[in-house]
Amino acid sequence: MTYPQSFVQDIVNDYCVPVQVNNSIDENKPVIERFRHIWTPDLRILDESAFELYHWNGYLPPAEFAARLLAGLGFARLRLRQFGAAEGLYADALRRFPTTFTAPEAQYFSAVTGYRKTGEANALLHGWHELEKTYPQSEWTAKQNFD
Amino acid sequence: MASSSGGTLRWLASVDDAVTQAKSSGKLVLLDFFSPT
Repeated sequence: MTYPQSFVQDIVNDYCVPVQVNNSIDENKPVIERFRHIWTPDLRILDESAFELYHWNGYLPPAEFAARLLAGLGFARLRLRQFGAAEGLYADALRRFPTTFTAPEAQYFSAVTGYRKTGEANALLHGWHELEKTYPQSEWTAKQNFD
Repeated sequence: MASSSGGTLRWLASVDDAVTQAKSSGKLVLLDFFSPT
């Protein structure tokens, strides 16, 4: 059970307008087709034009869900070029959930956010150095190694 | 995520309604497709 946890609810309420679509109801077929839905759990983060900014499939326990949601919201704000908001969301994810599966992704894109915000390469390199140091076995550490 | 019990979350059932609320609130939409089984 993920949603009954108050810390999960707080993140949803603070940052999201939540909508649930039952995929077994015929009247929901248009929205299922519109979003090419195929498998549950299926979570999307959409902007105010219903454009999809982030997506994941699969059950996550509460702390993993909370971290994934914060990182997803961070990525959504980053794609919207709202760098301050993205920065705050990634910082929150990393401060509260540093040992989750999502944390390396949050560290990777936190560094990207800093670079996009300031244009300073040092922001990117410092953040990615922290990524390599803290999460050496992560896929995201492999992704930042462009030597 | 299909196990939602509601809690203090107020789930909408329409993406269009959620988008409308997102426009006025500045929030993003969290869309959860679920299966009741």
